[in-house]
Formats: sequence, C-alpha cells, structure tokens
Amino acid sequence: MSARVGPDVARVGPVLEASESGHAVAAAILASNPGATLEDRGAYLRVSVADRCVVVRRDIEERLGRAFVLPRDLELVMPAFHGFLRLRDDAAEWRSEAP
Amino acid sequence: MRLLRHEWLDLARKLDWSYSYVQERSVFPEAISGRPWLEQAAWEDWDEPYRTSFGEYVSAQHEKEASIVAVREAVGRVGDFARHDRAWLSALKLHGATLPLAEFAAVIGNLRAARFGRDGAWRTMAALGALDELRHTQIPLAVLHDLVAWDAQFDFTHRLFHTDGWVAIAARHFADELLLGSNPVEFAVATNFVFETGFTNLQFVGLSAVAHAVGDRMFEKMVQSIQTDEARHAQIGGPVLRKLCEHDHAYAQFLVDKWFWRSFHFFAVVTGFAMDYLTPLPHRKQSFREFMDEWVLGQFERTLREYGLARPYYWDEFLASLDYYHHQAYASAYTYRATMWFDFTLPGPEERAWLAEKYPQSWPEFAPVWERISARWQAAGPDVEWFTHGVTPIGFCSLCQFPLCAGTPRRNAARVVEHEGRRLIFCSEPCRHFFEQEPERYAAHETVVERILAGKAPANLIALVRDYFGLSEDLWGKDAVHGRYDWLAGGAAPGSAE
Repeated sequence: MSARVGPDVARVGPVLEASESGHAVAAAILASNPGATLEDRGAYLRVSVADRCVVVRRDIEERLGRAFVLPRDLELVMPAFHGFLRLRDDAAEWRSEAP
Repeated sequence: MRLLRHEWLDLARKLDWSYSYVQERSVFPEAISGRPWLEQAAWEDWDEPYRTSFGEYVSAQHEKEASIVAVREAVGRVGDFARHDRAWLSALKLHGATLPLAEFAAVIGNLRAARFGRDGAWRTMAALGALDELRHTQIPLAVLHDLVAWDAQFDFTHRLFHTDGWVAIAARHFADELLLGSNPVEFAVATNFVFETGFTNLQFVGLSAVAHAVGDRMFEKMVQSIQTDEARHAQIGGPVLRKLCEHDHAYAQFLVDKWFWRSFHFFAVVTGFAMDYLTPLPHRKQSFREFMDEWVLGQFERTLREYGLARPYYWDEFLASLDYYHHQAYASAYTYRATMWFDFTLPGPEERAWLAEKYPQSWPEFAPVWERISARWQAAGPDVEWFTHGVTPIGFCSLCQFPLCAGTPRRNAARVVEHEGRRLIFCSEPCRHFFEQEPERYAAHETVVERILAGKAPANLIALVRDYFGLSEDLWGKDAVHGRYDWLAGGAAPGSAE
C-alpha cells in the first residue's frame, strides 16, 4: 500500500514499561522518527508515530551502555503495541499496514 | 562450526514435513483443527513476528520471573496490601477470582493449538503460549490467594470458578467456549486476536497505570509482566485471521463479531467496575470509556480494515452501550452485593460529579438511582445492609448469563425468543443473534433462574447465596464502609449537588 496521510492515519509504536530499558527504547524512537510522540502514563510509556515507527538496536544499546538483544530484550519491556510488528536482529518496526 | 541464529532458527520453530504413510486429514482432522481445512501448502507462508526459539523463551521468562519475585519480596506482602483502600482491594478480588483460573483454561486452548494448529511456527508459539498461561495462573494465585489469612474474601481467587455463583456461571459460560470449546482456528481469532490484542490490554496495561496511581506496585508489575507474554503469543491471531479471510471471509467476520461482543460484556464488568467505581477517586486518571478509546476502539477498527473486514454489525449499539452497560451492571451488582465475594462502594457526590463529567450522555439517567440508594441508607442508618439490597432473584441473559443489564434505565433492550418450547430471554439483540447462529452450542445451558424453576437451586435469596453460590455471611459482599460515609451522615440529600 502507498504512504498514508491525513487525520485517519494510524499512529503506531510500542507501549513500554517505565523502566531503564523502556525509557531507552522510547528515547531511541523519539530521536530517529520525526513526529514521534511520547505519553507518560506513570506505569507505561506510549510511543507513537504516524504510519511507521522504527528503532535500531544500536541506538538503544548506545543509550543503555550495554547489549540489547532482539527479540528477547524488547519483549521484556513491551506489554503491548499498536500496529503490525516486524522484528529483525538489528531493528524493530511497527507499521500500519498488515504484512 | 557454529551456526548463526538465522541459519538454525526456522528448524527450531517452524518445522513441517510431508506425510508418507498417513493422510494429512488424519493428522489434522477438521473437527479438531478447525475450518476451513486447507492443505499444508496453503499454510506455508504463515508466520508471526517474534520468531522465538525455546531457549530464548526460557532465558526471557527467567528474567521476568526474577523481576516479579523481587517486586513481591519488596512490596507484595500482606502489610503492603493492608495499606490500600478497601475499594481497591475489591478490584483485586474481582481480578483475582475471574482471571487466573480462566488463564488456566487458556493453557488447554493453547495446547490444542500446539498439537492441531496447521503450521509449525503456529504450533511452536502456541506451546510457548501454554507455558505463558500457566505462569498467568500461578503468579496471581500466589500473590493474591496468599492474602486469605488476612482477608477471607481472597479465598475466591481459587474458589470462584468452582462455585455456582452467578458470576462464576457467566465467566465459565464465556471462558469454556472461548478457551476450552474452540478449535485452534476459532481460538486464534477469538482468544489471540480479539481477546488478547484488544481487551486484555485494558485490564493488564490500562489498569496497571491505575495501580501505579494507587501505589500498588505489586499489581502494576504483575499485570504488565503477564501482558509482555500476551503481546507475544497474541501474534498468532493476525496471521490466522488473514488466512481465514482469504478462504472464508464470512466465517472470519462472524467469529470477530461474536467474540468482540462476548469479550466486551466480560470486560465491561471486570474492568469497568475497577476503573469507574473501585478505584479511589483521587487516583483516577481516565474513565473506562476513555481507556476503551485508548486501547480498543481506533486500533481495533483499523486492524479490521487492514484485513478487509467490516466493523461488527452492532457497532452503533456497542458504542452506545459504552456509556451504559457497566453502569447498569454496577448499580445492579451493588444492590445484590451479597451475591458476590467482594465489597462495593456507594458513589458519593464527588464520585458522581466525576462520572457526570466523564459520561455526560448517560449519567443524568443514573444519578437518580444512586440518589435513591443513598436516601435509603440515610433512612436506615449504617450497618443495615439489607435495607439497600434486593431480595428476589433477578433475570439473567440466556447467552452471556449476566443480569439483564443492556439498554438504558429508560429503554429495556431485552429480547424474548421461543426456542423448541422454551422461553429464552436475552439482554440485548446481539446476544439473541449469536445464540440463534449456534443454538446447539448454547441451548442446554440453564440460567440461574431456570435452575431455580427446575428445583436445582433455592429461590430464597439467602439460601441461594449461602447454599448454591457458596458464600457464607463473612464472605459475601457488603458495602465497603457499611454505609458510614461522611457525606451521608450530613443529612443533605446526597447527589443533589449535581
């Protein structure tokens, strides 16, 4: 499907535990996805981006100062997400269109 | 030579083979594997995004367990719970009784898919899902049932599903069909797609934010940890639904419609009560309706559109019921609180003002109900529980088994249907509709009232509660402060401030 615009566009991205790793993932997304927003609900952080949200493992590791293994370490801090998830060894991506 | 992960991963988690001395239809009989029955080749492109091996699973789960144990050691003992408001403890009792044992039934649903799911990757994830659901049974049982020595009502964490109380009957009717009586295809759509990606986020992540505000770190961390498992194994749902849409679009739409409606009634009671009534007012951030907006509505609609499915046909009725159903159910439950195992709060002027702000459409119809209940408490004085309590059994829906609480205080939505010489009553049009789509699945089940009429359960309410629902006087639900509200003692007509 082609890129989507307009008010109906889906906002996608992870819901993260409010922990050190969760904050690192959120910060990495905010830094590399234009228009990304963060809602802090105390217990969890909702990160969302219009249509497509990407995070690169290296960016998370730089913030944490240690290894961050996908998919395992993302699973530990992600109780939910919006959009369709794609996971690789080096990145995670949430998209509005189904695979 | 050491293999790289991507070189061995699919061998470990997506393994299928051709059968030479047995028919594929015998290995995966349609009656157990589900329909539409497709050749193995049709499932080859099935996959889910987590692509986890068993070794990786064990490593991740070990870390989750260690984290939960640490939280429990620090803030998960009786003394920590004793600090909470009694109303919040009721939210925990409601959660603890209705969910952990239902998750135990989900072990079985997952194990069926781990054997009869049609693709290797599906079966692998379902096997991990079964282990997940064991954890989702054991952790809350350990944390919450442990409180029984301090507060006997927590005994229902174990006991509810083994009683014939009306909540147990309704919860079993729902969970048995969802988790035990469905084949892997229906289970994937109903449990993994509708229930776990839509609704459990409300109770396990939305409510974790409420627990955070309340200061209940144990519940907050427990439910979030559980939901990190659900987020993974729920990924079975989408790819099964996509395949179903390609081959039997009408059946896919039917399953989504049915399970969204049935799940909504269940969570309107469990989550709706907790968010809009049992959370102490200073800690409330969003209403149940706002949490539904955040977690379910837009996301669910968009996902259906991605799969080429329509919104359920009852969507307008559903949206309207978001303003009414759980409010009617709570008012009904408050006035029959001795039929349940947790205590209830009477919303005072400040709670009612909050509800009026959050539900401007419907609250004007509920305010008079609470004004009358408050006036009766005032007339009777504290501790006279039965002066604000119903005494005759009420009607239950022949499908969802919840009290007839659909519609609004002014408009009764119940539907009466003759079915093979029996008069059935449904709380709403969708409950009637789904019964009539599969009557053979539901017809043999008796509601509480039918059990009373058949002489299987006592008609006297006290005898019904004590002998049939399994609730002794020390356990059954009461007003959380026995009517001793500061705002009630003043003498001004409560609620008239609005």
